Amino acid sequence: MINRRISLAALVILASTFTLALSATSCATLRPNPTDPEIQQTRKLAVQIFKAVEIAGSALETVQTIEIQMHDAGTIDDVTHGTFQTRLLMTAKLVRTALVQIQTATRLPELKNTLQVVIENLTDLQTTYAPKFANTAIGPALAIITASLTVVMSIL
Amino acid sequence: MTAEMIIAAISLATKLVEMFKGRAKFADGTVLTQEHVDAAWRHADAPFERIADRARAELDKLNNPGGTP
Repeated sequence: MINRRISLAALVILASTFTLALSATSCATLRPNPTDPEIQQTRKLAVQIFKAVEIAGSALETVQTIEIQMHDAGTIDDVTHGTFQTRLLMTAKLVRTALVQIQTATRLPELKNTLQVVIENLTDLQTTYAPKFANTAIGPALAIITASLTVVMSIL
Repeated sequence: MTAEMIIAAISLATKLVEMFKGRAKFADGTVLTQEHVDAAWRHADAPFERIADRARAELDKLNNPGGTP
């Protein structure tokens, strides 16, 4: 009887060990290897992209501040101000979504595709609004965005 | 306004230089962890979060000029 109980206990322990080993193996299989060269390259690229996007974001913030000041001073009308701020809100939402996708990307193609969306949106914002705000302080700030985007392009 | 722009331009130019230095640093055998990526993501996300908040506030002001609810 005791022997049977011991055998049963041994069987339970063996089964548990086997289950644990199996789950550990499946975890190791599912989780990407962090030293994988492609993952390392993706991470390095992601960090560089984030730095460039951070610079573009700071420049865009400056543009927003100047535009608000000009609107408050009466230089920019309500319609233009509303349209521009709506566009900035949309851009910020799109960029933030793209940044999350870049953060979780583990392979270069998905990283590059997402980055392309960010670049296209920021470039479109600049080409649309740079002529509208020509001869204002917004121009130089938009030029800084172009410079940072050029850096992003060079990373690709 | 001009002084503000010059300061902003210098600050952004400094960041660009830092970025190029960063590229050179990554050329060696540095192993990047997910924490590095997450920290860089937080820095990149911050200005866009502020832009979105400020744009919403400006649009609210336009749609509700008197400030009454």
